[in-house]
Amino acid sequence: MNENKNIDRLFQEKFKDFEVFPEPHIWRNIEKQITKKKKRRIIPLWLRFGGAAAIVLFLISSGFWFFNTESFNNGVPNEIIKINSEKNSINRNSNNSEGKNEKEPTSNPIQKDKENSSNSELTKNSENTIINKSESEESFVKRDEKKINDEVKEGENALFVTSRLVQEFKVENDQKALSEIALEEIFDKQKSVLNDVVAEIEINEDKVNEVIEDSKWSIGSTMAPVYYNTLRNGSPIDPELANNNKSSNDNLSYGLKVNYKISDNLILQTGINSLELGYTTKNVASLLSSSLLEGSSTNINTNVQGASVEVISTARQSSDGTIQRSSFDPSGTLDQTLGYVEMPMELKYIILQKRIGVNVVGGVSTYFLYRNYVSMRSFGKTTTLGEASNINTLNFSGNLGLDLDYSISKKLFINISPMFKYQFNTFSAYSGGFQPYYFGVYSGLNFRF
Amino acid sequence: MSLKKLINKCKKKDNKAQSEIYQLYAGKLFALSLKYSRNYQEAQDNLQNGYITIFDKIGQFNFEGSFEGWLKRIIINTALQTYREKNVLNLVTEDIPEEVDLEMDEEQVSLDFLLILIQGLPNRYRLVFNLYVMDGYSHREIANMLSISEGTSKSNLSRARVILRDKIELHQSIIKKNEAF
Repeated sequence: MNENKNIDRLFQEKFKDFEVFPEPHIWRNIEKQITKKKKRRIIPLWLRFGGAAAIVLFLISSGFWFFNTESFNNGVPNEIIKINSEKNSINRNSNNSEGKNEKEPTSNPIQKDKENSSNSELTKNSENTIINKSESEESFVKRDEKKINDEVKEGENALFVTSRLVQEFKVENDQKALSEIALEEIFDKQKSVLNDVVAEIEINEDKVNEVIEDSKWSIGSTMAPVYYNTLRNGSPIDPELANNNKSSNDNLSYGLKVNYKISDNLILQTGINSLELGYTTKNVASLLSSSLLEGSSTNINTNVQGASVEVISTARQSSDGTIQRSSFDPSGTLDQTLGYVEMPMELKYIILQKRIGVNVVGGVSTYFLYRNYVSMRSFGKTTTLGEASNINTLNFSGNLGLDLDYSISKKLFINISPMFKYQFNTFSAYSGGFQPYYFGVYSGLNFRF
Repeated sequence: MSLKKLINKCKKKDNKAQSEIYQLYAGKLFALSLKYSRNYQEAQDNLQNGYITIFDKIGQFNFEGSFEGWLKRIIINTALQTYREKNVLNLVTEDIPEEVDLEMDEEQVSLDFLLILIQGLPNRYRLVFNLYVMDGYSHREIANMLSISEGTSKSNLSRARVILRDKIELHQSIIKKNEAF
């Protein structure tokens, strides 16, 4: 037993850290074998693509063929009519020589001419005895020879056309066969190239996905057309305008956003946006009084000193019929513009993070008011009335939306994000039941690192 | 890059990852192949075939147990397969020979010499000796792997030891003689 341990131990200890590096060609052999296997695995897929490509090519080539046979068909009926209009002898003749022509499509036309005429003479001889019994053989031969020759020539012409077409058809068939072989060769070559490309693409795709998964930060621009509206009717400017038609202007938001990946499935998103919201109320007229109007409910502070503004709805007035004075433009509109600096703070939940990324976004935004004015457009002129007096300089919104990414490269990706933002704390005082929200599809180019 | 990532890339047939895995274990696995083979050429073939199997089957490795252990099993199985195919395992000697003490100076015995001794063993003695002594398989496992009885495994091991001891002693006596001159 002792001895067993002894010899076992000797080998165990000696071979404990035994490592020998094989020659470099071993790896090359292995690599060759495993890539061969990989190709074999991919081929069926490419055969399918190849099959699809072959069908497309077949359709195209058969389209060409059809196109070519179209001209073939166009030519043939004429010939058939010609041949049909010939005498039987010629018809037979042409049939004979057609057979010949098919056999020797390249034979000399002059030689053929001779053959044909001798041929026709033979037929003519036998026919003549039947048809023209009374006429002498000699005179018939002389008289008819010319005629027959003409007919033969005509028939010959038809035959030339036919034989040429037959030839063309043959050539076409040969070309088709050749092109099929060539196509197969090309396919084979393409297949192997494609396999390599596919393998490379797969590897690159993995690399890209890895970078996408690994990178923590991204920064990018955003730009969005914004649709601004209210959940409830009403006018924050004056209760008088509550029932007037209102619409969102073409608004734009743009800015910068920064993403930080905090865990495997969460991203923190913040940034800074400029947001301008415009809202138009239709059928409005404004009055500028020199003194404060008693009981004015218009929430506009004019910049004209000592004056106050009141707006009235021309829609109501005209329907009442009480005021029809020409000093109002019945189609005058009131435009309210609010400019904000928006700072969103959102969380993105990752649903998919590959070359295509899908996230759900939720969060809040803080808004700082930097622009606030109300203007009036009547008789084609725009006049600034002043600023809305009931807007908070600081307000917020709750945000919800989707976020879709597409990576153009490892570092660059396009982002499209439809967002719904529900504002609150917009008004400091009377809001007329106006509950603003806006919807924007934000898009931009982002850089990850 | 972590080993797990590398393995996952190999599962996707990433050429670079395969090359890295190869380089990482080639030394150990070639050494293993050398022990189980009769010569250098056979060991190269075994390593090559083993690695092809590894990259073919790497999708089946599910991170249970050590990766190196998994690789070694494949290399060993490749070797066993070779000798099973060659049908050279049909040595039948069930009797266990008597064993005597080995007296030697370990320093005088080189690794290369021991490797030559192992490679020089008859196929089944070599396989059993390697499996039992070098890679820690039990006689029951060996019996299973080689489709022999446990008794045959034990007797093969003893015979292997006797042959090895005799050759080492012979070697040492030659060295002593040389020293005497």
